[in-house]
Amino acid sequence: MTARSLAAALLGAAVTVPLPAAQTAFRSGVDFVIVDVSVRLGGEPVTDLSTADFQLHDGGIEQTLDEVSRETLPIDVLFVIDLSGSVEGPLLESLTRAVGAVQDRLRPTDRISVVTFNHRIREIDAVSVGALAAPLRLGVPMGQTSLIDAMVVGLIRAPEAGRRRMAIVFTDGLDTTSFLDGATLLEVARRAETAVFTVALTYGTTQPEPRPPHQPLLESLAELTGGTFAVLQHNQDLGDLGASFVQAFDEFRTSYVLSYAYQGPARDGWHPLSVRVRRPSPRGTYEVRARQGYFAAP
Amino acid sequence: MFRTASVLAALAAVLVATMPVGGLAQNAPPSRLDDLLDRYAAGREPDLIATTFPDHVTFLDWRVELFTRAREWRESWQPVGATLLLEISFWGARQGWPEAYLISRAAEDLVTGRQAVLGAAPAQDQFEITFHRAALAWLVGARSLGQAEEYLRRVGNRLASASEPDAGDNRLRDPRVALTHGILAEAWTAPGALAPMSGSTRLPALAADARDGETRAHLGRALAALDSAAALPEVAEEATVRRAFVLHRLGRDEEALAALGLENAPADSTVRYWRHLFLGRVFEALARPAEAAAAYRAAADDWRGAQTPAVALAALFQRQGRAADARRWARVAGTAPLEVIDPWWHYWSGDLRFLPEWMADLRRSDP
Repeated sequence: MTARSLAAALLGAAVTVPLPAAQTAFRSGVDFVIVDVSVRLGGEPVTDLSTADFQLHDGGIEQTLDEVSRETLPIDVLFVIDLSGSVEGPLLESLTRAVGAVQDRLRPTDRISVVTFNHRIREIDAVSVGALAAPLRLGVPMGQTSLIDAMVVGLIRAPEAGRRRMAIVFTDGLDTTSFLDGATLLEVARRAETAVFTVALTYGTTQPEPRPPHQPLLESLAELTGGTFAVLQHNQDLGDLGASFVQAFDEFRTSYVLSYAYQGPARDGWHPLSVRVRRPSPRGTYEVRARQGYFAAP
Repeated sequence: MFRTASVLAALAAVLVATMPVGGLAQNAPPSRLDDLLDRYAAGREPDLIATTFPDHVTFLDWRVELFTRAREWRESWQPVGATLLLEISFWGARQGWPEAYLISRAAEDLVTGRQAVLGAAPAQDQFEITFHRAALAWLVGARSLGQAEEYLRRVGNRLASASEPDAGDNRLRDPRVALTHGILAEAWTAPGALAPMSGSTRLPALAADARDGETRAHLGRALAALDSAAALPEVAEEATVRRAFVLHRLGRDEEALAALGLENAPADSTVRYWRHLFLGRVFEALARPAEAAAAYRAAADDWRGAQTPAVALAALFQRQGRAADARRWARVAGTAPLEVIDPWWHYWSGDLRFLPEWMADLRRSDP
């Protein structure tokens, strides 16, 4: 079985082939790896790249890519939504509409799951998009904020082959009741194989604009997982919440999926990744975003 | 000389206590505030304050009368008036009234402006102690840490200026107020306390890092205060467990572990639960994951349905590559029963967990 046919078999048999991790398959000494890669130029997505245009290093060793695809695998979207006391009134309405806007763009094979949080974390089961009869009701905002704990709970998901996974995180405040710390969140995220896109709302219109709490942590999370971190000002951009969610989803959906059979010395643990575009750019440099690595299980 | 002064003070207190209710109050026409005070003292209407002051506009209609009568209640020593004012201030603070702080100060003035000197009227002293506990619990719980610091300073100054400092000091040296010094010092490093509205992006708490100088200084103060409080039997267990968490946050995990190795499990179930959680954290820091997992499981067993041990176990197992166990505990965390209140949520709120009990005591007492 060639690596390419192995990839096809694994991706097409999501139900019957158990995998140790969502996007990392290990068979007969071959580690099969899938990496989501977003490429933009001048802020616009680049959509005409092929296998030969990418260069990928795994643990410092250049890999031979078997396949580069776009928009072929179903997507699992995890929403991690702040429902602390400050998310009330128009903000809650905007938030509900923003989730609905992403729901509207999902395909029948995509799935959605939701974790809401204040000090308490509530997990709503994953459901297929076809089963959704109405927009999700998020709940009643109240209480404090356990942002980090909620993200950890959300990111720990059962591995599933043949699907891509992203998280859209929304928060408008400061974590006040988490037990875990930022370092733990990042450690969990390294193993989660989920691209994390965070939208943080700040309050006030002063100059310079206030940065949201935890900005360095959330930026690190985005960098680590191949996601993004976006900031909205409460007084100015409430209506843009839906656009931010949709932008995050579209960026993930249209990103490339690079697959390869790992070539190199057997190595458990963290595999750092680097991806670049070989093709010369007609203008400026490519913005390439991908997760920084993955964990290979023993 | 002190004894003579004590006798005089006691006599004065008796005289005050047996006097008819003060002239001003007695001569004033019955008002809606008298009715409110009676109903509040009866304690049969749990939503009395909320229904009486549904909004700020309604409060403004009462404001002048309320502050005027507060002075009269002080003259005539009607301590339940202080309790009512304190409760109104809590409600006002939650609603964002600008007068909330002034109302609480009026309540405090009523209590500390009593005629009986410190040490002369034990029942009044006890009332005052409980009042201070409640006011401080609210301030710390509401993260009004600057005001809480000022409050503690005022209590300290009151002791220092007492006519009989020895007697006053002894009676007002309340273990929970002593513990509050340590709680408050650590609360400055709680999530959000250092960077609530400043645009700062620090993640100050729970990282066991204490990297920046300000955080380290607060934790140092907390450690000293908790050391002192740990010597007071009434609060020794809580002070010891809180002190261990501070040690852990300062990176002194071996000391933290030693501190948490109490001979007996804490009697207070909340403190016992915190101890399990902190043991888990310390064992993780010491790279002893099996013992960390056991500690978190003990917390989960001790407080059935609590969210935090499940979160901690999920994260621990995920980092160990035990995906199935991690997912199972994440699921437990995300479906924790709604009726279970996780004591971890109280940790940064100091004594707020005791506030309902203390307010009920204050409302019932008539020293």
